[in-house]
Amino acid sequence: MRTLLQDLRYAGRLFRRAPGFALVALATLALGIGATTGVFSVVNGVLLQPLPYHDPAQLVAVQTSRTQARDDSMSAPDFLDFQARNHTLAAMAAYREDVFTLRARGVPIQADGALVTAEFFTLFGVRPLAGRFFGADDAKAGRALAVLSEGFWQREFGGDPGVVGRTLQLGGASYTVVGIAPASFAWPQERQIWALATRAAPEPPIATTEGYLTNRGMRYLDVVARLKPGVAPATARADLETIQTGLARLDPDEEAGRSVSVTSLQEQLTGDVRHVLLVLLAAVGVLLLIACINVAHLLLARATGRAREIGIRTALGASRTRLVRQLITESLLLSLAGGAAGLLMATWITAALVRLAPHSLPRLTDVHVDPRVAAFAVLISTATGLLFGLVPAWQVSKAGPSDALRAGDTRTGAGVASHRTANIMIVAQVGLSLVLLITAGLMGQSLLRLVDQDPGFHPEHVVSAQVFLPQTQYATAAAQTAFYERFLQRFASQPGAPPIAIAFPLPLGSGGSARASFQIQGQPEPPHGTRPVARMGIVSPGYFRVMGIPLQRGRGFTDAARDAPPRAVVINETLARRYFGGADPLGAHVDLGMGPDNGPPEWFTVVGVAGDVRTGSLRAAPEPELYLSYREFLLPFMTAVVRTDRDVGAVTSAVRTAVAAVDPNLPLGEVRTMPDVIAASVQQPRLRALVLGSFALLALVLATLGIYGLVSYSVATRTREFGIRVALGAAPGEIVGLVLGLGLKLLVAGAAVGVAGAWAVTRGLSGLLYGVTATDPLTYAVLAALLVAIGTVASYIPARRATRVDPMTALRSE
Amino acid sequence: MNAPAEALIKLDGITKVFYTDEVETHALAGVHLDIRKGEYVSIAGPSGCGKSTLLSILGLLDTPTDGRYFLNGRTVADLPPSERARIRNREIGFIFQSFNLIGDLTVFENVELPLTYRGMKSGERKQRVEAALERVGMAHRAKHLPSQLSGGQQQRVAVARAVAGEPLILLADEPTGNLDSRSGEAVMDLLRELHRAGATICMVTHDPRYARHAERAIHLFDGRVVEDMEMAVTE
Ligand SMILES: Nc1ncnc2c1ncn2[C@@H]1O[C@H](COP(=O)(O)OP(=O)(O)O)[C@@H](O)[C@H]1O
Ligand SMILES: [Mg+2]
Repeated sequence: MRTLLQDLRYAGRLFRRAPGFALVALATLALGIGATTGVFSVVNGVLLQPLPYHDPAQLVAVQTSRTQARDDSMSAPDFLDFQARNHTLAAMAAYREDVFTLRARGVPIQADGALVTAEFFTLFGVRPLAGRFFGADDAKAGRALAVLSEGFWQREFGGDPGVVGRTLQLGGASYTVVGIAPASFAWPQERQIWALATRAAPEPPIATTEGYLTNRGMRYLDVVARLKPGVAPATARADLETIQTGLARLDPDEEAGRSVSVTSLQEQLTGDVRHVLLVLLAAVGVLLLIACINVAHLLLARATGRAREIGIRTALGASRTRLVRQLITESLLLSLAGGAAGLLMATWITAALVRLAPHSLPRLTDVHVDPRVAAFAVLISTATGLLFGLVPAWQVSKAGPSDALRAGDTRTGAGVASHRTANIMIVAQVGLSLVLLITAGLMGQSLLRLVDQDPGFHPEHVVSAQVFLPQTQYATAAAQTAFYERFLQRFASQPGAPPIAIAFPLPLGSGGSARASFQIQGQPEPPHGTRPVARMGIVSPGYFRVMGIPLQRGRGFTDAARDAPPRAVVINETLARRYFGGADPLGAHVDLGMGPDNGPPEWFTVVGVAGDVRTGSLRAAPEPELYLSYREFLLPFMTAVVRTDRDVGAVTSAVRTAVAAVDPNLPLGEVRTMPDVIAASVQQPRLRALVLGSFALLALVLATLGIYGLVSYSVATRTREFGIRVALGAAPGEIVGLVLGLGLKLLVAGAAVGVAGAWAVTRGLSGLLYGVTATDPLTYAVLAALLVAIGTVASYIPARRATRVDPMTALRSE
Repeated sequence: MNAPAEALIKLDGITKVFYTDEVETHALAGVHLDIRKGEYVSIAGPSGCGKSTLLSILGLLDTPTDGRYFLNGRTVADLPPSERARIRNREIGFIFQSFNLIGDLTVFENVELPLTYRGMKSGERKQRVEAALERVGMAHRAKHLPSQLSGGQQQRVAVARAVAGEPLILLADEPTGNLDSRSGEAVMDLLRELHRAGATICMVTHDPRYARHAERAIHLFDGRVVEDMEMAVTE
């Protein structure tokens, strides 16, 4: 015990005497452990932790798709057939996301919700926080019931338990609240209200005259299922494929060529972010590696300097175990302090990542600093510390104390071998940092190119506001159209009202999209199911003007109540180029398949060609797009766009006034400026660039510290040599050159390793890049040069110190 | 025997004071000294009397606290570091008690080092290094590392390094201090040969046997020259 105290005291004194060493080692450990633990905690929470539902491995998402068409949703009759005929599923539920309007605390509000079938909650196996969930008899009885999320219940009703049993007006219809879902239940993500479908399947989002329970062409449902115990997803898939084959015989138009996919719910949820998080994890792994290398190298460098001291101790009769214990104490002291600082850092980094993460990142509530992860990181760095802390003892026992004592004279003796190790470590470290830097550089460039991409409209001074209609209240297309017409009129009648239009979808917004297959009159009719598909934009007159989308030819829509037949359609440049070739599209007739099935075509006349717009994302090249007037075809999810110099607040209240004038119970949805909408659409690449950039910066700092440490150490052990050189007439510049050369050699070797590494690694990332190739020579060259330059500056400090070596003290030291 | 010529080195009231934490050490307390071209001077005195300090001031490794130092007729005070480096490189050759060869360089490279600093062409360097190694009898060891040589051999290499650049003066600080007597003799013979060939030598030693090799003996005590005598050289 007394020896331990003595060891500790001696270790403390050593660190105090070389505070630079102790600080660099501590900072390195803290950064390495902190960043790794932080990022891994996020990855763990989002990707690895099982979903917080009963037996989550048995939960799957069921989809059918024709690879060509992107309709992964299911129709109600398909769902009902699968539900009735399968042999492998314990339960199956369908749902559709919806937006509910209601009054809470006296004002109309909008809540994100879902319409679900009766099996939904029981399938997940969660317990209600209060009240109950839906049951089979509720559906049979056709009861209108709702479940609130815990967060929504707290926020809007102050957590009042009396809410259960109360009636809520959702979109003008009465629902009885039967229960509260706990915060841990989040399916689909970020829902506030779940309402029970009053028939066998939820009703579709758009008003329809046909029976949705029999129309296989109307695909709008998401389906989740629980596998029977012991059934694998592949088995269930085979089972459902058999049913699908039967459907294809029944209705070849809609069902032929469809395949079924059965995906684990976890994968379904995290599939989109998986790649990104794994890249992040790899990056942070590299960072930990660099940190460990740094600590190892610091300890090695010190070991070389201490070989003599340890030799003396051995000569004075210290036993090997005594020495080893001393060294272990020192390393442990360092590792534990570093670990503690690292954990502090980890909580901070985790919080920062959660705050930075896009809302779309699933399961953020499941993210917390995982104790096992932290333990792992501390273990790694402690092992590094121990391993390399013991090197001096090992060297001494190998070489014998007399060698170590002699070592101080002409050569650094035992230091030569560890010098080589240290050099390799620095080269590796510089290389790894460069890999990170280049990766981050490419991501950053992609982001810049992306933001620089012309969206096809002028976002400045445009404010958007969602104006969604509850279907219960606006059940028919006529009622919906009438609302939007009156809303536009009311807005325009306000004095000094700026130009306004409504549209679906909002370009680069997150509110979904619509597509239509079309057929151009006079062109050969393609075989069944292979009609070309175009994005569909639903807009009011003035939309192109408000958004600043140029009309290349022809005109936009007019304010006439309805264009007299033939009805008008505006196409975009890409569609004109791809499907009309050199011919003039103006005046051509297009069928959009909007008439009844197997009925005669309904012809629309092309009246204009609009400039291309990046509707879905800045990344994707413009697709063929068709615009229809909202009077021809309408979805009750329109967004108003206003071109104005006034601030968002003024626009918001003007829009709200116009809405309230038409329907005082209707809430206003999200209000955002178009530049904000665009910024949100590049949130993922921005986050990628930001996080990778910070890691690359950390790596750069660590590598610079490493270079600085090594060169400083080198200078310290070579004072005598520099003294001799000065005595022989070396000018200060020559000494500086010598030391810089030392660092430069390692830097250049490291840069070469880094370029090769980045070349190998970044090719796997080309899917995340935009407008820049994974092997962009400029990025590689500039970042390699930057790294070498910074490293050179870092070695300049010890180089200056070397010129100040007093040749007399250097030569005198025996 | 060389006829004494004009003063190559002239020291005028040189003092050196070291300031450490609490103590002022007066290592040199007013040294007056002339050394002429071609002279072989030995400096002796008890340990701590200032011999090494004097030599390092002569070799421009250190600056005096006070006094004037003329080298080859000009004052060397207030020269910029680069000019001092140039003088050390071209006009002064050092031989140290502990050899001070650079461990990572071969014998050849060690001898070549001062010539490299001079910016000499490699052909000429090679010639000079080979000649210098020949002179000290170490040509056959050119590719060896210092650690592969005995102490006496290392010191001969150090002598070769000091003379390769043909300096005005050779400064040797107890060159035999780390050597056994046989190797010491060999090194002293080497210095005497160099002197015969015209070299100016200033050597610190407290071994009276070696001091006799010189033609002039200076005795230092407490930082002062207390004796300065010309001697008949014993052959
Ligand atoms: N760098 C220094 N700092 C402080 N004192 C020094 C320094 N160098 C030499 N001295 C002191 O100056 C005196 C002369 O030293 P030195 O010239 O090395 O003596 P010698 O070589 O004759 O043995 C000694 O007392 C020594 O302790
Ligand atoms: Mg001395």
